[in-house]
Amino acid sequence: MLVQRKPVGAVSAAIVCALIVVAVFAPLLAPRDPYAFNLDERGLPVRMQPPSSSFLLGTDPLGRDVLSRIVYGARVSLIVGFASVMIGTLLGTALGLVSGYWEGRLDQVIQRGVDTAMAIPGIVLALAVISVLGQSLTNIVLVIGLVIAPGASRVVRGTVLAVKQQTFIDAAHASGASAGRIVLRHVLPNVFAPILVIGTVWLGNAIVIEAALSFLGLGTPPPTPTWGGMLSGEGRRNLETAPYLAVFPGLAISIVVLAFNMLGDALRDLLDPRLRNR
Amino acid sequence: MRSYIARRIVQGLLVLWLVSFAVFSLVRILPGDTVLMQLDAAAAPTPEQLERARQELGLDRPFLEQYRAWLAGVAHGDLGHSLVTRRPVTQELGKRISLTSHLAVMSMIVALVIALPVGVLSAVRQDTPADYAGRLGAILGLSLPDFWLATVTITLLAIWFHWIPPIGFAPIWQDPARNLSQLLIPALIIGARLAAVSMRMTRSSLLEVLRQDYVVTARAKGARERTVIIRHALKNAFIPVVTIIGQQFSVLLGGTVIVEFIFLQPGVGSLLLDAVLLRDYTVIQGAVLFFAAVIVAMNLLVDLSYSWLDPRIRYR
Amino acid sequence: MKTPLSRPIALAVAALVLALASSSTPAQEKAPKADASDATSFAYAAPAFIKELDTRYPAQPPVPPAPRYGGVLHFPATVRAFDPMAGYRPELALVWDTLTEWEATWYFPEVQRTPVIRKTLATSWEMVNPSTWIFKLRQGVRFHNRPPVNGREMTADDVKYSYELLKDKTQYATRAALVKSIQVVDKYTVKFELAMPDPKFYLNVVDSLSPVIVPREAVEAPGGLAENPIGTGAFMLKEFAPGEGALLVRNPDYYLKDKDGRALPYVDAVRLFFTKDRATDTALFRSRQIDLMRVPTLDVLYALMKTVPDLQLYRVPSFGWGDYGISMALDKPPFNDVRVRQALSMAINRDVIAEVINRGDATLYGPFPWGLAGYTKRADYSYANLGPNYQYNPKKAKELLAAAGFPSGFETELEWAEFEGWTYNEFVQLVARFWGDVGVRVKLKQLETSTWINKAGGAQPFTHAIAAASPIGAGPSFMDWAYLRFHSSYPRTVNRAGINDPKLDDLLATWRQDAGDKRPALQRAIWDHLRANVYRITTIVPPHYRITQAYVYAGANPYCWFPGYCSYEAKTAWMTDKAPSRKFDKFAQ
Repeated sequence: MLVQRKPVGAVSAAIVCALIVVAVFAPLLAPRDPYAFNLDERGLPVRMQPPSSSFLLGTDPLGRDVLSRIVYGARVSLIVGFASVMIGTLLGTALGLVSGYWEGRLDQVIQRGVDTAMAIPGIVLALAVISVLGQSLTNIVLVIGLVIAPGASRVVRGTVLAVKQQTFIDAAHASGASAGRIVLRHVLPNVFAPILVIGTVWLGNAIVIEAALSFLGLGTPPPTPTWGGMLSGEGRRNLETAPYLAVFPGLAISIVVLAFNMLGDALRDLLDPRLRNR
Repeated sequence: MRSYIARRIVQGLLVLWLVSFAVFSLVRILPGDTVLMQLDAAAAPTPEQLERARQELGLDRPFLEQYRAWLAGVAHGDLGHSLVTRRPVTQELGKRISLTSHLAVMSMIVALVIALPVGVLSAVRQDTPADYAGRLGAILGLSLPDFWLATVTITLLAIWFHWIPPIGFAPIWQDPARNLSQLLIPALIIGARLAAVSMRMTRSSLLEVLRQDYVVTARAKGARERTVIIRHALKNAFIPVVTIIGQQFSVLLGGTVIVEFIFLQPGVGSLLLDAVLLRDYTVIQGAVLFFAAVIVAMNLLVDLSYSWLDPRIRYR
Repeated sequence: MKTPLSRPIALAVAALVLALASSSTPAQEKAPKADASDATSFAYAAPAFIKELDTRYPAQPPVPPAPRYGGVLHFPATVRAFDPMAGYRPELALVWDTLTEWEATWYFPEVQRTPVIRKTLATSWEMVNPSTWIFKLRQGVRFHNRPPVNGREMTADDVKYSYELLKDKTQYATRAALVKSIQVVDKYTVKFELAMPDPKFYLNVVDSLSPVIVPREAVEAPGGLAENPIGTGAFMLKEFAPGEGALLVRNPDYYLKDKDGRALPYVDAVRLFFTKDRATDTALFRSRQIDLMRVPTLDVLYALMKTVPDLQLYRVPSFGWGDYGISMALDKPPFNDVRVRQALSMAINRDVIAEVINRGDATLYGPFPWGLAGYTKRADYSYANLGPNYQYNPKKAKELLAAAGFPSGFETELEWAEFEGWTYNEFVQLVARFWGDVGVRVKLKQLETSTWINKAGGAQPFTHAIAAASPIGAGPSFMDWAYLRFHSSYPRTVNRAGINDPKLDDLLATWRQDAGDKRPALQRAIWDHLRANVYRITTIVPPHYRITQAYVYAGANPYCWFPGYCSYEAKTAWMTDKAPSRKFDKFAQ
């Protein structure tokens, strides 16, 4: 069904599935240990080797195999992506639902809070949170989730407001359903589609944000391999002397973000009732 | 309408006040303070000397007193003095605001100049190679991180052409050649993302509008395709695009931060980055206030433009 | 409306997250595998390259006899405020002089043993007793000819005024703290009374970490020195563009002359670029917009030499700046046991560290600079002279740990941060690996840079261990590098490792009280004591690389290296007619 109607969407879904497989089965797929310093006959690390038959994508400044690090890096990238988007959309959905359904004073307060959050540059927020809480994967996920939440809440609120105009809501009201029930059974399912679409796009963004945080020195701490860390750390530092250190993680990020974006497009086309008749 | 604007302005000021308080507190939670950051590694101060330096900068006063003093200054247009250079923050911001504004505006123009025609073309010629090409370009623009693009660009420019954008800012009305040669490439890089997003939104929004009843009617009446598109469809299609531009504007401002850093353009973004590293509280507060004010103003403009674009939308 | 896809998708997402979460915890580092046969060729043969550098570059390239006047010199810098009261940067030395400074010869150990002090504002000095010094000032020195100072002569009153004004500022306080009082003896003579005897006090006033001489009228004028940047220096500040750069023009009335009596400086102007990013610096050098700069690693040097083949290189072993070391919390277990510290030091293979940090082009480094312990030749910087605590011996390390009560090792945390110019990233991962091999399980904790500066600077305590450079001095001064850093009477911001060793304190006190003859032997004894106790773990220090375009001739000196390029080299630098022609009406040109 998918393949026939949206070939591009099918391809991107395949890429995402492949990514998931690589992430879950990384220990089986990676040719070497991503943490091992490979040594030469002098006992010194084989640093910064260009791609060769023994190291398909080259070695990094500590002598570790780049290909294996990219394979393992898929795990962290996916975790960062999924976890932060889940946190962000959950938080955003909750805020947006409350804000949109009950409106009035509560809505105003929440919206001003969202405005404030969106007016503070992400960098200051990220720096503050990470400096205080410490630099770790958990905190990075938290920060990215916080960055996503305000935007998500706006989308949800807009959808909720639109849905509320629909007559079936009034009908449900009239038939005596409680607010909670109405929200759960009628409002929430309609919110799901736009959130899913935004979520897939944000998955890609989250991976890029992780790379930006690494650029600023706030990323996932070593020795954990992450694509963002490889790109912004040793990739950027050695751009002239060893460009392959930046090219491969950059390609990985780009392909995955591409796939998520296209998947989001395809999902939106599928799920949006208004476009369905095309 | 007027009362709507008034209400929005009041709300905007409220948001600005909340932002200022939030940032004021946030930076003071950060570990470390400016006194040590400013020192050379060779200096070996005693704690008493450090404390004296802190007193000189007024950092030893209680939190609320510092905030009240700063806020009182802001009401008079005085954003305080930089803790690093001791010069007024307004002076530090002054020239840099000019550069960042140039950069932001140029990025937007570049983005729209690329996005709108490509988006319209893509929608009008849906599912043709032109459409696919446009969409692919857009997705590429979304996928490459802009700081990475900036680093690669400046490195390649230096390696291949032995040239990098000149250092030393001049506003466009003073020295257009220098200004453009300095800012065009960074603007392209920052605008790439906005172009991608706007293009996609233009396309999908126009597609939707083209199916609306009034467009079908216009076609049935025999109007030429071009008239249909330009007179009837575009104006309405642009509403969501305007929303997106408004939303993405804050992302755009964020993009200027890192690109300014790499291309050595002294804008507000790179000032903010430096100030955060140096824990220069007053400059951070001033710069964030600037960003927040711009974003709030942008949101208001976007909302107001809705009523111009769609006469059905009226504010009470 | 529910769509048929929503439920399965939700379930799939949930399952995925669970699967990832359970499978994902990155494993502990495994032991390195030796892949001997995979040693393909390096990107370039580093050892041969280093040998070539060793033979080619100690000698200065031939300099034409008569320097050419003119040209605008460009180099990168970081100056936030051109104001000695607000902070110190070496570039301020372009505008304000100290009493003396380091001469910009082509200094290299074994070729020229002793760096030369250039007499700027002071022409001679005399030690009345180790606590009293008399400095005679140069006559006829004029401040810049600008209002409100208008070119008046500098006198002893200015020296006294400057010291008293600046001595409490944190950036000068360490040096100035040694001065108890200053008296004006006559118009051109100043007497320093010291807080403690120092037979080498003349080293204290060299270069800009000691108070610079400023005119009272400029300080007291509206806007202070920031608006009136007037000094006695070789250049005058013409334009300061914060965040971008600065433009300085030649002072036509500068008092210094070169050895043939020609007026200094040679160049018409100096333009500073406040770059932040290494890629930008290299790009600027390639496009000939920067004339000289410091290069951080051998890899970058190699790349630059390929693309700018006629560049000139000054490469000198570092006196001690820029080393890679680890401070430990000495007041609590396990680091309070000397056997543990020795073990941790022995567990590290310094050859590997040198290889990773700078492709092997690095010198071993001990508790403080080799030169201060009496080792003057590069061949002396060896494992033999450092002793067994610095040699790679994981077996002995494990034995020591067992003897100290940790037969199966222990857990610890190593804090670090990214800091421009250092590759701590790779360093700490290596250390974690080496310590892991002897049973010490390391948790790497990355701090945000400013937090790390705070902790490394001693203003905030660190938990167990922190990777940082050794605390430095500003010149070959044992006082700076050793006395202040190891004596227990100094607070943690000065004695950053928190060393409290009564025997060491005794040795240091003896050194301090000695008039000077026994000092070399005492310094060596202190070196031996520190080597045995390993209060800080030190590994290697890369050499300094300073490159210039082919059309620039400039001396260099390892003592003015840190914290950045030695800006007062601009006083004696000159450019040939092959230099790009540049204007200097305003900065943005």
